[in-house]
Amino acid sequence: MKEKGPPKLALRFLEWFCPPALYEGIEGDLRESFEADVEEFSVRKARRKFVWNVLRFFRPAIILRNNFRFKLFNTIMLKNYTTVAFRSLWRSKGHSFINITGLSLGIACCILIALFVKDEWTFDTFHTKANRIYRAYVKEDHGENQQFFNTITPFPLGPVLKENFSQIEAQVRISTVSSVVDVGTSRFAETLTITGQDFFSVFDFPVMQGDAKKALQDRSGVIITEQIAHKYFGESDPVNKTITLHFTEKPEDFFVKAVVKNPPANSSIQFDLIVSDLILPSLYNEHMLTAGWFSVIPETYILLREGEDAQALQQKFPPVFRASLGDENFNESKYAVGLQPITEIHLNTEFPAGMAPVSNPRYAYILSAVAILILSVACINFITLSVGRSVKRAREVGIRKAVGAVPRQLVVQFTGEALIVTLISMISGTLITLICLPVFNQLSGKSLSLTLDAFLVYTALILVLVIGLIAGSYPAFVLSAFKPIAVLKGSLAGISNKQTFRKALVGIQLVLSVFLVSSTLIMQQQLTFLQTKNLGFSKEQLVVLQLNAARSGNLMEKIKSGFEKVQLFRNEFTHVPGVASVCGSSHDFGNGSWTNVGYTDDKGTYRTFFMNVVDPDFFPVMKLELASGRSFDIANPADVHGGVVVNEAFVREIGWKQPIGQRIPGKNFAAHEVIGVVKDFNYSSLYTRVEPLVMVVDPHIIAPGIENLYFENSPIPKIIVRLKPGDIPTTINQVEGVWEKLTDGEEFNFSFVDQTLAAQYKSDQNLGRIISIATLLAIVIGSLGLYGLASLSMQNRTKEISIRKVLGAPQRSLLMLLSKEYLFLVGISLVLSVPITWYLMVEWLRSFEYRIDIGWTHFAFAGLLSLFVAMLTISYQTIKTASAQPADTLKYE
Amino acid sequence: MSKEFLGEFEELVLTMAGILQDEAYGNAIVNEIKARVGRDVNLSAVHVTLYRLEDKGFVKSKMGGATNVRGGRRKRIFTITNAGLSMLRAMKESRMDLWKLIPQLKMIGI
Repeated sequence: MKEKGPPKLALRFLEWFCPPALYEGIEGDLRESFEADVEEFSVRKARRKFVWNVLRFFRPAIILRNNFRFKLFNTIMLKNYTTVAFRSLWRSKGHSFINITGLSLGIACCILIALFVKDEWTFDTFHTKANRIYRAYVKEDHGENQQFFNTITPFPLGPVLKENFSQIEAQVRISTVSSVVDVGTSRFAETLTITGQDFFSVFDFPVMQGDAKKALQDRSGVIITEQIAHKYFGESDPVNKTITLHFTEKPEDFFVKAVVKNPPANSSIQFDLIVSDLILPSLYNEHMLTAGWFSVIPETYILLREGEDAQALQQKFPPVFRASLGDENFNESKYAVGLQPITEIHLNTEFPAGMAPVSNPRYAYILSAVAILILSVACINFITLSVGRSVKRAREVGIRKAVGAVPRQLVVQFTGEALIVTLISMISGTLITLICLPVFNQLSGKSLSLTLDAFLVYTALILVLVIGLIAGSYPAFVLSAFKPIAVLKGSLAGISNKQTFRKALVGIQLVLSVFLVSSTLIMQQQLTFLQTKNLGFSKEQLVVLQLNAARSGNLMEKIKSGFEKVQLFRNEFTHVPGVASVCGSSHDFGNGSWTNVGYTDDKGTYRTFFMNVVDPDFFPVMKLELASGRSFDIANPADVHGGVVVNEAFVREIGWKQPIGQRIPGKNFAAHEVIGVVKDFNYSSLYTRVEPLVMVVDPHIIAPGIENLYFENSPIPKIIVRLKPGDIPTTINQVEGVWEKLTDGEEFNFSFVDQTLAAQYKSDQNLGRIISIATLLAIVIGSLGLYGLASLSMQNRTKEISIRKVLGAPQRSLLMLLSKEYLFLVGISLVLSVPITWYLMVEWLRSFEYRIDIGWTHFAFAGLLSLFVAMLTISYQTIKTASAQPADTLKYE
Repeated sequence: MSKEFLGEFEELVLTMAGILQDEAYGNAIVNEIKARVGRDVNLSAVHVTLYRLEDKGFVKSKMGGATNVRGGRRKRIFTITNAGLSMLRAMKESRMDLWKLIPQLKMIGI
């Protein structure tokens, strides 16, 4: 051991934690005893004892004295720090403006998106028993591609579960039925929610008036939401009022027993009117309700008892269902029942949608990413501008250091300044959020609101801290590292050499800009493509009127009576001058899947096709083109009762060479022949390809052969009216007149086909809009930053440029010289952003069956645009610098 | 009696500060305790106690002159204040009062 003194590290440690006032005395005592130890033992042992003694001083009684002094010191300087901070903010208004604007916009984006994400993630969590509520699902596998996975369940499921398992506290089945509602003389078309007695004990929907639990024990009781109460009764007290419901052929009087709050927007269970499941026997037959294991109608929710495990319970299901279904059915269908937590319903896309749509968590991720992108662009501005401006603060730093400020204090000071800027941005960002919230709600299809709650406070606090520290710490360290002697002497060498880092940051901004611009271009082109692609039929000026189902008869009879009604309308519409033509069709466009029929073909293969029941006018009205054969002829009974028109996809699937005269290869279909083949038209959305389609006038041809039936779009006929161009509102009024005359005053609802079709792509359109707005914001913030940076770096080069000028450099080459590095940056960022954009956009486009190709033009355009914006931004500065008079800039040298 | 109390160790350190007078600094007190009571105490404990006594107003401190030993570091000299002295006295007296109340002190076991 060569060193003779006490260990330096221990001394440094002591100096670090020890209060300065006490340090000298303590160090002296320690040294003294060290010297004594050296005498008594050895240097080695003395050193060891020294370290130990120092460590013994590292105790609260010493350290806390320290803190007390530190705080006192800090408060003294705080006033000076704030004054200086505001003074420097004020002195460089331009840069402060750029910083605060950018950060405010970034913060506003973050708050909006935090609200959105919170709403998505808290779906259905407002029920106090949410952790015990599960939705049952049913899986069947009949082999040969006949698999069914439903979160809509059979009626007997709930009661069987409740009876057989003591672990289940309650079960609630929720189904709906559409009904005409008469309130006094007014008539409304509504959807009734049918549910069991335990609905209000399982779920938390606050009751405003009346006794909702009791109402569900009463067959003629109805519970309405506040909104419905207001719609039906205005301000008067709704309780015990009578309304007439027409869910069966016989109108029935119901009594309003309770009013509940409107279900919150983040609830998967939505309702307007609730009636007791005691009415189920009037709607469904006995078999369906007690043994209809293969007909799925209600959603079944169960409430587990406290402490029960859903997974363990699920294991015990199979024997019970084997007993309920019978061995044969159970084995053939591989019937499996499972439980899904209620809180997963909204975001788990692996489960099929039940009553409520399932949201794709992808959007939440994309939005979060966008918010973070914008915020990073703003933070980068902050960093580059602060570092760039540091030259101006160099003297201040020099003087502070000369009078005894330690680097740590300077870091605290400059980080504090960053926090002040962030805090100001936070306030204006919150204001921007408030202003933009309505627009954002429209784009995201939510009803979010900004309330001053713990969530907002935490979000704000976290944002301020994170941004303040990220954006503030780098400049703080750069500034506090200045050497006082160098800066006070006036030499700024070593300060402006931080160019590389700033350039890298600007490069990142450019990469983000090019990425956002090219993504926007690609998305917009795809969205335009969706709107303008030739669908195979003409969608302009088409109006759809949904007929209400006849009150009696089975589905076939209802369809038939619907078409009879269409005939009445057709006759009336001949007197309306604005109507060009009219047809009837079971399905309309853009409102969910058409009827899907499953059957087994002659070779035993299970196949499906979509089906639409139409009247012969469907083809001319929709302007469909035929590939071969003919469409239905109303005068030919063989066409009407035995004719089938298929599409090209159907022909391809079966592999017919000569389709005309063939029959659909299923055993049980009634006698028929294919009379025509229609060219493929996109009757579904452009997310999917055109599937095989069969169109008939008489559904009885198909009915006997149906093995499986599925539809989202009700097959009750619709009237499709093609309007003549011209005064559309007047025509609609006349159409409404006809409707009132023929339907006895039912509510008049109509929709334009082109609008309904466009609405299918709403979520992607909204995403496109949000990305466009984000792009705009990112470019504006980025340009502001670039402008600020250019102004700083030009200032530093003024003299260089003047000298070049004096030596004879032409202005053109000077401009080139100044712009060159930015050109280079744009080039690099273009190269870097292409693969990211390519990858992400291909992923997005993959969700569409019909899509555009990504071409180099997108990137070229995005690159040119970024370059143009960048050049435009810096041009003011470059031109100013390049055209400055050398005499002015150099005269002080 | 005042509301301030002294712990046993505080009393010991305060007494030593009173004994050592102008030579009362951390190390000296440690050595004095070792010499007179035969107790090994830690330097840091003495320092902490001295600062606490200073907070309570029983000692006051000032920096002594520079020396050649101890790496040139000055000593922090603690002097007992009047309050400290009367505190010591009060403690001693109250203990003596209690002491007198023990009747059969003399010869148990010896």
